[in-house]
Amino acid sequence: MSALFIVVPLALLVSAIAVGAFVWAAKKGQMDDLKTPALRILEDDESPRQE
Amino acid sequence: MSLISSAAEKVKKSASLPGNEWQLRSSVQNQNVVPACKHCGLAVPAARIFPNQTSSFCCAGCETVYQVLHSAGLEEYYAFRTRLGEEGRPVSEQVFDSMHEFDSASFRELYCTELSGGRYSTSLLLEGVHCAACVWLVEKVGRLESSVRDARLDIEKAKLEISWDPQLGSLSSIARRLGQMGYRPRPFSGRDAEEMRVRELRSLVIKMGVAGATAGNVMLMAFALYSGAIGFEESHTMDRETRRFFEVASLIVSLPAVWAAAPFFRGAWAALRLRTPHMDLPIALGIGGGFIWGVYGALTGRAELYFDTITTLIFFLLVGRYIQRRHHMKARDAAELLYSILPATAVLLPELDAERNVETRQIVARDSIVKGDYVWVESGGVLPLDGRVVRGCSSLDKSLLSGESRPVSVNEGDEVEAGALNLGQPLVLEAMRAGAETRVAQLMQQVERAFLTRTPLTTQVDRLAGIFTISVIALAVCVAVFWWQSSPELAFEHALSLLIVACPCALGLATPLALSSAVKKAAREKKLIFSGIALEQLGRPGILVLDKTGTLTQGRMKVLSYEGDSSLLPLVAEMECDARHPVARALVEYCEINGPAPLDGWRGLHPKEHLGQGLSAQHEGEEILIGSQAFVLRQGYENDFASDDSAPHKSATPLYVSRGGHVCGRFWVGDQARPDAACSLLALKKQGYRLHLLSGDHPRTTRDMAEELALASGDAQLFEAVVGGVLPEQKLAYVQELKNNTKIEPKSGIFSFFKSSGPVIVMVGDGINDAGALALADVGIAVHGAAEASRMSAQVYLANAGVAELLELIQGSKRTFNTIRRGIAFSLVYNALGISLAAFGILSPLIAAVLMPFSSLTVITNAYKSRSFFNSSKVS
Repeated sequence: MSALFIVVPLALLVSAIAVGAFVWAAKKGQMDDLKTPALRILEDDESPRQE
Repeated sequence: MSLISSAAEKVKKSASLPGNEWQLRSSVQNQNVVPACKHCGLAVPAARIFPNQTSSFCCAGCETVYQVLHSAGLEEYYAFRTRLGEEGRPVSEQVFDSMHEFDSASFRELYCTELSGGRYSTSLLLEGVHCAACVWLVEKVGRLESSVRDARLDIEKAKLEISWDPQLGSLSSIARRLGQMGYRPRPFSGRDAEEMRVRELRSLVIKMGVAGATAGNVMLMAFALYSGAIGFEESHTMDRETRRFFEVASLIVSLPAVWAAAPFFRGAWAALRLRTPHMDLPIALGIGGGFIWGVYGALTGRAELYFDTITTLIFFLLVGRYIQRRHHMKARDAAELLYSILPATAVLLPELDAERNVETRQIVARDSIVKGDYVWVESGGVLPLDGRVVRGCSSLDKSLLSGESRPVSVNEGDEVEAGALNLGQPLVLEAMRAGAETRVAQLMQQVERAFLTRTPLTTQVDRLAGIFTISVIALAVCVAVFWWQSSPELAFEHALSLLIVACPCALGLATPLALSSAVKKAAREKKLIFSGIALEQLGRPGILVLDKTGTLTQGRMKVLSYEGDSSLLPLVAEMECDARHPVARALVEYCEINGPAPLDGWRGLHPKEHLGQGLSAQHEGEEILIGSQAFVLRQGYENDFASDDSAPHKSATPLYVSRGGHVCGRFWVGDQARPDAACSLLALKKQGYRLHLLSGDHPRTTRDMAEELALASGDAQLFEAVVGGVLPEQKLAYVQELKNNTKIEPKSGIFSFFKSSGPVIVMVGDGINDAGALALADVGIAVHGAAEASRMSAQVYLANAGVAELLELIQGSKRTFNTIRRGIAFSLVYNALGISLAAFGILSPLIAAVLMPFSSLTVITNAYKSRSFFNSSKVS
């Protein structure tokens, strides 16, 4: 069971990094607009111009 | 055929014919009716169809937009829009506006921010953005205007963040370009206030995320502790050292969640200081008490840990808080939009007599005008402030404030209000109230206040959760004390089982899940529900307050019938075609579709406008008059119509036409009831709704409409109340009074959740003048074609026209409400059963931990399997 004493803190460290990334993203404003980015992905690549 | 399958077919068709979808769509419509406008899809009037043109448009506005997009190579917009199954919206003459106010120095000072490198940025609110194709198009504005550096649209707020280089082009040319694309821009004045709101929301998002991560990790460790606590033999249980490790670790991991719960502690502290009971108080007590008890347990190893329960609870409560906050922000955005309808600038005259001297006119910011200033309002302009007319006479479209669709004529000395549209000649106003004191601004504040005072139902879920936590902890203590006498180990184990089995996840999930699944299903039926709580409210019958114009009627003037000489129709069409009056537009539309085509083109009639009465013109030596009875039926005129003729349509007004002293034509003009109104209203009444008709129109018109509908439905008592001539403030007051008179003081406690606190007040409307009432009512419903401000202050928007939609919405809500009730009842029964089993020591912690997800699973299945918005009538 002594493996737990290393693995659990390691797992917590990983989730702390994930939380840190989330806080950074939220502070950058990535969670401000939750609707438009979802629509932007529907845009197609531009079709080549037919001259 | 269902909406979905028809949309799918559109996609299929467009896939086989790339680039031709739009032609395909219009040619399908071509076969039986008049051709459709290439931009907005509306019918094209006969006068605008030219034989040798491949594409036709319903108005000059749409044509301009199409030409602009075509020349910029942005035609893909149409294909994209068709693939999405979206339809266009007609464009008015707004595309021709100069938008010069965007260039004034005071505008830049008020609304713009300077960036590095001499660039500027500003926020613009756009009218008419509604789908992904709009996002695509608007963000491509940089292709047409080289000065644009960056353009990003937020579709929910309809707000465009734009930065540009003034060296390469002016903001007004960008604004003009946006107008030409069909999205009229308006300045956004609340940048500082919004920044504060955004920061608040971000902090809530961060707290929510941290609490969620914490809850997940603590739950994992709790599982280790629970499963390690039991074993068939002593050697199979977790050793003491490991257990202590997990206990201390979960204490450390829970600390961020306590920080995230700060809003609840702050709320509880405020409640204590102000000595007013607040739902944050029991929540804070539950969280605080549980945490302190847990700390004691983790440090001594002798008491139970509550960290998993507490962190999960904090997370769920924060999610609820976040949803509620976003809802409030929307209210403020709606109010913002209402205010931004006023022009940002005004034309100031240094002195009254300088009216004629164009040189001395100054363009200043709207907010810098003070009482007593003289302001010039051009023809077609919007009044920037409340004032008194000192020079000129004109007619105003006051529909923004009063909802009255007919223009009102104003003369010198009359008081006029900001937001009215000047339809006639230029006016000089003496400012009386400006900025926040204008009636529009007051109305805006009412919208905001109405939103904030409405008691949101989420508080009941929060309260339920708070009570739940306290009673579970109390019960756990009782169980522990009771079993302590037999053995401390048993006491510990049974209290533990109780806590696991009582985890309120299912309870917290039941309502939000059922609502979110119903909202998704409703959106497929083009019923957009912005607040899930509205759905829950609509499930109970109540009082339905209907706005007449636009809800029960088509919302625009229409010629219902014409009697007399049809050869006059082309003349009428030509005379009226330049007037902006809604009646004039109705006449033009009717004449172009029903009259014979003009043989010799334009005759150059140059009609003269008689304000509030009608038009006159000379044609082939004869005088032609069009207008009201008093204007046309003059002394000595030969008259084809008896004056006491009974009207063929209720709530219609006659308009007469005379030629050379002979009255030979009569139009019946009115706003027609929607064909499905009567039967849908009757069905609603049968479901237990009490119907009230409220309208800003003349009381007589309103009463006539009510009678007409009652007659058509076969129920003479269709409406409980009919009120006409209502001002926007009165609409708000009416709803407030209904609320005051009908609301029963809500009973406290768990059972209040199931009991209705008086009937639900539902307001249905479409105008900006309804916005306040829509926001104040328990549920506000904006209908097809509603103004943006009212759409944003309502919780539900019905994108399809017709009263039947309302009926479907209410039936769907009823089914959703039943689903919620089932979910809550289930999770309560489950918890009660589990708790009592645990209290008597029949349930072991491991079994409880395995059973817990089943409760949530059943609730989730219940929510998603419900046929809340499955529309049987459309499928069959």
